[in-house]
Amino acid sequence: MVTLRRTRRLAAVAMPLAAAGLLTACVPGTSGKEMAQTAAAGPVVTDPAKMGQVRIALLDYFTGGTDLAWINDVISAFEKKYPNITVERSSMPWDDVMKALPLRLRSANPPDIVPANNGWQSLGTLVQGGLVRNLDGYANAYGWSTRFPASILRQHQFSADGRQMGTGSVFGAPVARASAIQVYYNRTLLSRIGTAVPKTFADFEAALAKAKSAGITPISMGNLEQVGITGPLFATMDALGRQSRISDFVYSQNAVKVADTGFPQAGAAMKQWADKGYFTKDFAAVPGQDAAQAFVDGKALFRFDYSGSLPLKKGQSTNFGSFLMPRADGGHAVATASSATNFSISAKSAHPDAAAAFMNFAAGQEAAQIAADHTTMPLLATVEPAGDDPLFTDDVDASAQLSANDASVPYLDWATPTLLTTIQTQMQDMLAGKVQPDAVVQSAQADYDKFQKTLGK
Amino acid sequence: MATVKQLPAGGVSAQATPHANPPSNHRRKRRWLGLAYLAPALVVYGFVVLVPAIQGVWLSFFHWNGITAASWAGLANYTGFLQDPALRQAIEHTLFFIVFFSLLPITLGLASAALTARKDVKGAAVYRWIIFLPQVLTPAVTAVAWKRVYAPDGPINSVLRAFGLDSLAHGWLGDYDWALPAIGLAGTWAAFGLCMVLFVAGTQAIPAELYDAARVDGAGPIREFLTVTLPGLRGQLAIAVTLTVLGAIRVFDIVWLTTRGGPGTSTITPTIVMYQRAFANPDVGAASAIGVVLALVSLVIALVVVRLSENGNR
Repeated sequence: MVTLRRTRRLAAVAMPLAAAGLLTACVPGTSGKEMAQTAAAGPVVTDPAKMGQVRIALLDYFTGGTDLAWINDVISAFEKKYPNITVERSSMPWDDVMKALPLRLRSANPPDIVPANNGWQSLGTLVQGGLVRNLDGYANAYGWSTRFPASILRQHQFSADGRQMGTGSVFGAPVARASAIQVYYNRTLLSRIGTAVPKTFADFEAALAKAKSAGITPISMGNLEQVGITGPLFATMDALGRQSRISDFVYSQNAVKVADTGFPQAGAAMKQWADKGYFTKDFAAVPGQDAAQAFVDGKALFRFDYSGSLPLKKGQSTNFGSFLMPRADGGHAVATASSATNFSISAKSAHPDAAAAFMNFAAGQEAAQIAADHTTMPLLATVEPAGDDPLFTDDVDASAQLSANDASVPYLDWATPTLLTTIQTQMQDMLAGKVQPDAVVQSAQADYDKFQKTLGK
Repeated sequence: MATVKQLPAGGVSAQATPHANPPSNHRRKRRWLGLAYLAPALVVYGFVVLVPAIQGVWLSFFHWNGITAASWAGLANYTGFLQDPALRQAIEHTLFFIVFFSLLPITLGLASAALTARKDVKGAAVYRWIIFLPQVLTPAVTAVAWKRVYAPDGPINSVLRAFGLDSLAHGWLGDYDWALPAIGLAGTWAAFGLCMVLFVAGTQAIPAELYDAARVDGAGPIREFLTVTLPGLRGQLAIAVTLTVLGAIRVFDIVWLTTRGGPGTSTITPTIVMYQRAFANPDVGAASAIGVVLALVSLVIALVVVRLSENGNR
């Protein structure tokens, strides 16, 4: 009797729970059908004054430093210009945004503008799931395809069926701030070894050798958390490979293999540099932050880093300069570069016109100038560098080169959701001599092929 | 076990027989009242723990990238589990971690309990406080601290070099052979305090007469430990084993915040693989399958430990 009653009671508790489980339990995920509904339909409004009183919610990953200063100033400038539109900003650290985005976009009331990362790990999958809006109407109305360099705009494009990246409809927009892999150098140390800023890849390697024999750490790099090697690896790939091949590989066009992109040569170069002692001593055990700090403290000649990522304090930048890794074949420099963020509009947004107006503003001349005022690398527009910060002058120069030559390539790891993990793990093994350089290339290709199959290729 | 269950049940019915229906009615009402008191906690538990757990089990039967429509996988995520080299390696590391997160701290905790329990050590409270301190720190803080300790120019290497042992200095966390034991030792440091406090408290509850009797019988300190202290600590041992072994199985933060499973995959753990599949490289079904298996393994271990300690008490 007791046991019977107990089971009944248990059942009473368990039943609603099981029901709740089953209710949510139908096949998880969105169906591809929603995709069609997001296709741009009808006319779009581009005059913010005609949008009435509107509030739009913006989510970003700008949590501090110049990132935060830039977005706040852009919002103020936008609201001042168009007082009828209010932008409510919220932010989360990058990792958290990437984890939360699919859930936030499926919730009843998602932010209007979201910072989905380019590539298949984030934006591509959101496009397939129909969670972000097709922006072709706005791209046409605002003339994005003529205003933005093609190599930047295609980072935000996907085919109608969501199976091809780098072509087709526009699902996001860049902002007027760049994030590129740059080579930073220490002016004092460079003159100490009696070398000018490298103009060719051979110059660069010669400078590494000179620094080493002068007892200076050539490249400050810490790979403890597995991320340190990607900067030098990708920049060297851009120097040794061909721009079109790298783009084609990432955008899965023309059946390019990873072996055709300069990736194997770059990997071999990393191994050579490591063996010659060109990286920070014991780099495998050095935390990335320590390596960045060591460079800022003047303990190394070069450092590969993303625009604006060096932990510089005010006034510290005078001793540093930057350049884009020169190519081995003498052509114009090619850099792994993108906008500092992609902004997309959620499919459920009730105010896409206002959201697009803000995105257009954040990608415009005024937003680029605000970036320059905060000495952070601008994109999409030419600006006059403010003040006499020599490092920032180099940044503006690099940005201008990228735009003029349309010379940016996408991050290699956008090609599949798992490629970054695969490359980072394998590179550690390779640099430690646990596997041959060929093995890294094969693993990367296997990872790529596996994902291409899911795209139906 | 059977006798254990009969005892309380027999007791209740023996009390219940003299009175007939009314009190049992009354008691039933009180039972519902008890349940009502519990209800808020149960509802929260249901929605925060049980519902997601059921969803997790359900998700583990799908191939899903977290966004687009999922496809039915059947048991593929579980069978893939067995063939996945990364996971097999991760499980080996877990066994290794059990030594460092469980066996070592328990041994050390027992030793310190044996050494301090029967004598008054000057400043014992201060030592205990210092050794217990890691329990109070958040794992993120301990991870950053240990990263510094093991850094190529960190304190350990500085000490080695100061003694002229330059050849022994390592980039500990970046070394394929040393990274795993290095993280393991950090875990030992963190768990030692908990074990020690549990055991010291336990020894204080052992009647002094038992020790006196053992001494009268001519037992030395080791004999005393084996015949009096250890049996007296059985309950605490069960708690310590359960907590520390489960800690070893679900270790994540210190690995993620120091090496991310590297160099290569030499410190990868099941939870790291689960995190990568759930968030970095979305394969939510496979991540759920790992979670389900970890939960089941943890449950089995907890049950076995409890069963063993109860059997011993009979």
